[in-house]
Amino acid sequence: MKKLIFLITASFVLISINYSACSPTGFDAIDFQNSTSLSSQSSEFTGQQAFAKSVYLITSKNCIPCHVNIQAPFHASSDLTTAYLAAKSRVSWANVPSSKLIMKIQDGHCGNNNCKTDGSEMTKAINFWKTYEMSEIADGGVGGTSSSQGSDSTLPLSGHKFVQTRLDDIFGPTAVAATSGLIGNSIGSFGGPCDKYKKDFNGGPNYGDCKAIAESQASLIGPASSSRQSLIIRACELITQNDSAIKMAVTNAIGSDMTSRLPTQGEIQSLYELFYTGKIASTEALKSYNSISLAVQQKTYPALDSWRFVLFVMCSSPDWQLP
Amino acid sequence: MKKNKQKLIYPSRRQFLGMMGSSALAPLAVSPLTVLMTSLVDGILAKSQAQAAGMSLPPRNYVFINFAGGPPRWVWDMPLTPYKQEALIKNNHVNTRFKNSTEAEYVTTAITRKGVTLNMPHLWTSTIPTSSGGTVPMSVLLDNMLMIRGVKLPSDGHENNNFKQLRPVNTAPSLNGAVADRSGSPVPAVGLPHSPNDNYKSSKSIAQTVLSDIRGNPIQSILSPFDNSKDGVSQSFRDKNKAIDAVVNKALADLANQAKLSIPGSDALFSMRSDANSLLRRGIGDLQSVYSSLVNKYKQLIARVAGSSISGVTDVPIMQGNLRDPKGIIQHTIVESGHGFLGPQADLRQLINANTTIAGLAENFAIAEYLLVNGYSNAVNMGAGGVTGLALQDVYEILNGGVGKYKGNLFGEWVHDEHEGGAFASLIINSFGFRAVSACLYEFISTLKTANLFNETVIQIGGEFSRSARNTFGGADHGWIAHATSLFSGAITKPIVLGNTLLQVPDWYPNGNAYKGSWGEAAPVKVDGIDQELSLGHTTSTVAHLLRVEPPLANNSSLVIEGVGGVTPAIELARNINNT
Repeated sequence: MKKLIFLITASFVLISINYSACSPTGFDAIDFQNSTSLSSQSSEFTGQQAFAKSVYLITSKNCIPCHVNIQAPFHASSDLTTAYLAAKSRVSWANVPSSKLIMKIQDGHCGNNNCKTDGSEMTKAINFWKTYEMSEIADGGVGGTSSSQGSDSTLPLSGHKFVQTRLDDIFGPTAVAATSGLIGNSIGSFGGPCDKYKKDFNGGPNYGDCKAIAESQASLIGPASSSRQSLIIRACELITQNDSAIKMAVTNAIGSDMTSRLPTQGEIQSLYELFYTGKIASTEALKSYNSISLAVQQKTYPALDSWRFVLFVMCSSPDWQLP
Repeated sequence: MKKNKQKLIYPSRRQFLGMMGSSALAPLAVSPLTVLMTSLVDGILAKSQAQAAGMSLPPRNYVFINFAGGPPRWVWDMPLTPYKQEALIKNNHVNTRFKNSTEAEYVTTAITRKGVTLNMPHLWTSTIPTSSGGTVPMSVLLDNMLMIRGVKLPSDGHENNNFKQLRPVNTAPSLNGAVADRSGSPVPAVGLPHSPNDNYKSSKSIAQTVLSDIRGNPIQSILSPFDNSKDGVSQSFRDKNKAIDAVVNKALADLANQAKLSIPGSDALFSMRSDANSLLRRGIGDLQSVYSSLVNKYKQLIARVAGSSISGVTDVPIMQGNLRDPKGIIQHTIVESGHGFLGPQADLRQLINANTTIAGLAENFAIAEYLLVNGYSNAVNMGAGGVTGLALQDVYEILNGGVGKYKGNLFGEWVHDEHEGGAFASLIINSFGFRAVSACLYEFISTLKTANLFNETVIQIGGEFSRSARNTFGGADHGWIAHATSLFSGAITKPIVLGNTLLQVPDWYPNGNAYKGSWGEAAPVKVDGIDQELSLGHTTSTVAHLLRVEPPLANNSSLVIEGVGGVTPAIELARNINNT
C-alpha cells in the first residue's frame, strides 16, 4: 500500500513538474519585421528561412518549453527544420486568420492570462512567411517547370507504369500490393496512357487499366502534384517497412544481402543506381544519404534500418521519376 | 474604341519582392515602394498598386458551375431589358410568371442594388432561404454579379460548346488549368460530376482530380492520397522514421538543391513532397461527419426552396382542363422531353414538391466549400444535373403527335436540354431550379465571405447555351446564338449586365419563323475596336482577367477592367437592338 501511495505521489509530482514546465510566463511580442528589416532582406529566402525570420521568432520564445520536445506540434523545436515542418501543418495558407497558430494565441492557449493576444503579431509573421513559402512553390513551378512562369516547358515526369514497374523491379514481389494499390490505381495522379476498353485479341473480357473513361484523358506526361508525392511516400513506407523488400533491393544492387552491417558509400551509390539508371550520385548526395545511415546508427537501431531508411528516402525522392 | 488588351506578366512573389528589394529606393522610409512592400507582406496589396508596378497577384480561386444541357436563362441571369424598359417581341415560350391560370408573360421588376437599377426577371422578387433558418431577398446576390448575355457561339452543339466555355482554344490551358498552373494547394484543380471536366488543360502538367461519383464520401475520396490512416504501416517504422526526421528533412533539402542543378525546376517536386509529408503527418481525419453536415446544409436549403412557393409561378392554379388544344396535347405542359404531358386532372402547382431537387447540386456545393475554405484546392469545376423528383400528375403519353396511353401519376426528371419541354412546365421547373441555385450560391458566398475568400474567388454559372424558344408553347432548342453566363465575386462590387441582344430572331436564322420573338439573340457591340457579337473569347478573357491568369484567347479582350474603382465595364452596358 505504501508502495502504491508512493507511486501515486510520485506520479503527481512528475505531472506537476511537467505541467509547470509547460506554463509559460506570458506572451512576449516580437517585432520580427524590425529584427529582419524587410528592405534589406534577400529576395531569395526559402520558405524555411522566411519561417526562421518570422513565426519561429515568436514560437521559439513563447511556445517553450512545451512545444520544443514535450508536446506536439514541435514548432518551437530547437531544430529549425522540425519546427518549420510542424508549424507548416498549423497554418492555413488560403485563410491565414484561421491558422491554428493564430487561433491558439487568441484563445489564450498557454493557460496564462498574460499570453492571450489578438493574434495580430502572429498574423503578420505568417503573412510574411507565406510570401516566401508560396513563391517558393510558384517559382519552381508547381507543375515542375522551370522558373519562367507561363512557360509550356514541362518536366517529363514518368507515368504510372514506369513508376510502378521500377519499384516492383527494385523491391520484388512484396512491393506489388503497395505499388498496384497506390500507384497503378492512381492514374489521375501519375498520368501515363491507359485504356478502359482494352481487350485481348480474342475479344475476351476487358482488362483496361483505367477505372473510368475520364482517366483516358490522363496526361501522358506524369502530372506534378502533392497528391502524387503523397502516394509515393505512402507506397515507399509500405514497401520499405518490409525486411524482405529491403533485402531484395540490396541484393539487386550489390549482388548479395549485406544488411547485417551498415552500407558503405559505394553501396549507397549502387542503391542509387537502382532508381537513377546510369547516373552517378554526386558527392553531396552520397553525403546526404550517408547522414541518414549514420543517424539510424546513432539511434542504435539495427543495421538493416540504415539500409531501410536510405532506401525509403531514395524511393520517395521525386527526381528519379524523371527518367 | 481603343483596343482593351492587357498583357500580363507573372513574376512570383519572391521575384517581385526581389525586384523591389534590390531597388535603390529600398532604404527610403516611406517611399511608395516601401508602402507597396509592406502591403504585400500584409497580404493586402491593392490591385491598383500591382498594376502600377506592372505586376500581378496570384490567381483567384475559380468555381465553375455548369448547367449541362443548356437551360433557358431568361428566368434568371439573362435579363432581356436590363437597363431600359422596352417592349419585347412576344414569344410564347419566354415567360417569367403567370398572368392568370391560362396565360404566362415575360415580366421584370426594377430592383436597385448598390446604386444600380436593373429590370430583372420576376424571379428576382423572391426570397431565398438561409442556413440560419431565415430568408433574404434573392436580389442581394446582384451586389456582386456580372451578367454577360448576347454571346454568339461559333456553332451549335452540346459537347463542343461545353468544352469551349473553359477552353476555347485547344492548345491553350483551360481557365481552371491556368489557375492550377499557379496554385500552391494540395489538389490544385478538381472536376466534379455534371461538369465538362474533359476540357481541363494545364500548361505545366498539373493534375486535375476528377471525381465521377459523389456517392459515399467524396471529400474523403478527393483527399484520399493524403490519408494513410489505413495503410497498415507499422508503428515501429513510423517511430523510427520520426526519430530521424530532422536528418531526413535536411537530406531531402540538400538533395533538392542538388537535383535542381542537374534538372532545373525539379526542386519544386521536393517542395511538393514536403507539403505532402506535412499533410500525411497531419492527416485528413474522418471527414464523414464533416461532409454529411455540409451536404445536409445545402440539401436543406434546396428542400426549403421546394417547400415554399414562388409568387406568380408556383402559387397560380394551372388546371390542365383549361389548356386543352385542338389536338388534345397540351403543349405547355409537355414533360420528360416529349415523353408525356400532364392531363386535364393535373394542376401544375404540384410539380414541385418535397422530393424535388437538382441532381448533384448540394453535394457539389458541399465539396467545393470544404476544398476552398480549407485551402485544399483553387479550382473547382462542378455542375448541376437535371431537376428530379417532379410530381407528374395525370400523365399521358405522346404517340405520333397524338395522345397515347394514360400513364398515371409519376415522379419524373426534367433535363436542362428541354427541347420538347412545354412553356409552362419550363417556367415552373426552371424558376424552382434557379431559385434553388440562388439559395445554395448565397450560402456558398456567405461562407467564403466569412473565410475572407470571396474577394479572391470567381464563381461562374455556365452552361453551353440558353434556349432558342419555339413560339408554340411546345419547347425550346439550342440557343447557340444566345449564350449567357454570369459571374460572382467580391471583386465585383455592383451589378453589371453586358452584351447586346436583338429584339427579333435574325433573318438568316434557320427556320426562323418557328423562333420569332425576343429570347436573347446576340447583337453586335463595339469591342476590340469593331462592332461584333460577343464570343466565348470575350467571356473567357473576362473570366481570365478576373482570375488574373492569361486569357486562353488573347485576340478577344476582357469585357471588364479591374482597377482602383473595382470592376468596371470596358464596353457599353447591355442594350437591345431593334431589328424588326
